[in-house]
Amino acid sequence: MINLRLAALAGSITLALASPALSAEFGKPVMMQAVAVKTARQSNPLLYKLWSDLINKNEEHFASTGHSNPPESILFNEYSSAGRTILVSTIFLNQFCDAGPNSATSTALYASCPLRVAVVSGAEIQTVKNAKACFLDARPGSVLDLDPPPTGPDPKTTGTYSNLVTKGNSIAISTLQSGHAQPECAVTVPF
Amino acid sequence: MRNSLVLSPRRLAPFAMLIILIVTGISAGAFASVFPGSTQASPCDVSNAFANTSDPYLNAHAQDFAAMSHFVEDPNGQTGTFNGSCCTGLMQINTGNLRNPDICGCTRAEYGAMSPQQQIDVYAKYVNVSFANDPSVQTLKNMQANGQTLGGHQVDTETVIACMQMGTGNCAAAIKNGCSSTTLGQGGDNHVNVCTMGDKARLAMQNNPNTFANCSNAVCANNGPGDFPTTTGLASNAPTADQANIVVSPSQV
Repeated sequence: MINLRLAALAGSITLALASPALSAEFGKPVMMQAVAVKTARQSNPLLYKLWSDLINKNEEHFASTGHSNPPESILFNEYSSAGRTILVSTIFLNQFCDAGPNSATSTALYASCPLRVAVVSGAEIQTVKNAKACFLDARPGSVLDLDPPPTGPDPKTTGTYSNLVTKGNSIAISTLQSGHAQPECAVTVPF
Repeated sequence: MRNSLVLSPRRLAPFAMLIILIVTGISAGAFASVFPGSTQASPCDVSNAFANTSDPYLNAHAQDFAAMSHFVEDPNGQTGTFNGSCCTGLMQINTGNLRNPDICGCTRAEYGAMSPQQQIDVYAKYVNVSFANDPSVQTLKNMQANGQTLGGHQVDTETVIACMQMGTGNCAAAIKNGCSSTTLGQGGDNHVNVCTMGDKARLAMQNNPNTFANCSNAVCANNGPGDFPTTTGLASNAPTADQANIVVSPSQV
């Protein structure tokens, strides 16, 4: 009975406010969802709005070079807590990501990209914290163009994760590559 | 007695080999492979390709760049070499950089099937796109000109090339922390950093001084008319008027 009540309570607080997607679970690392930048414009206007400045600069750049945009993607999780939504997201745009070293000994699959943690009330973004994150997504169709298993990483345990720590009002970002933590990718952003 | 387990060296050898393969595979992260359509390139081929780019720095230091390719990045000289995780080709360019349409706009498989010259032309674009507004390379060139060291490591052309290899973020971090870390994002790729990669290329060049000795291309060494290899001097080898591009009469001298 108690378990059922707890489950119902958890269900009520994990219902996302900003998008139709369910909020990520609290207190443990959850792999970020992926959405193409172009798709986000329709499916998650708030997420698109969060990144609109960089997306627009990126568009202007490619308009000036005449090159067509390469695949671009956003990773994100949403948390709903105490009447507000916490949106954590990293974006893969060529103009703003560091692809990493050109090196035979490098084993890193991720790119270093901008990270934003936004506090949202209603449809308004109230605060935004900026940082850098390791952008990693091995699911089919990923912008990173990784090999599928067995030569490539396991998509189920490869990605960028977020963990909402409600007690400290912070988000912990981590990255796993086939289940192995990438220590250099760990970052905590207070909000 | 006959069925008892006897751990003789002969029986252990296959297991030892397997362990070695696993350990080296893990340390490298993945196993290297070669994409279809790969081209074999000799050190001279790579040097020539750098000498033929339009970038003055790459052109002037063609053999240094070729040394980085041959001794550090792709000793087999295959354009299709994929390190199993991130990087492809003669200069092991990162997949993310290849996908950038300002640099290549290609997949790693497409890049791996390119000719040596095409690959090095893409590398020249990478350098220009990535470092056009980044001060790291210039900082290292200044340090080189002033005879400075970085974290006790010599700073020279090999260091500058290693900076280009590691990317802007890593290179800036290496300059800032004096090459004190090999961590990715802190100057390295979790195995080498800007300084140790440069050291590796420099040492290999010193230990293999004849690698480029027989290359027909001599752009690197010839920076002016007096540098061209001739035993009798340019004046005595002057072309006839009908062979020359510019003809100057005695009264015009």
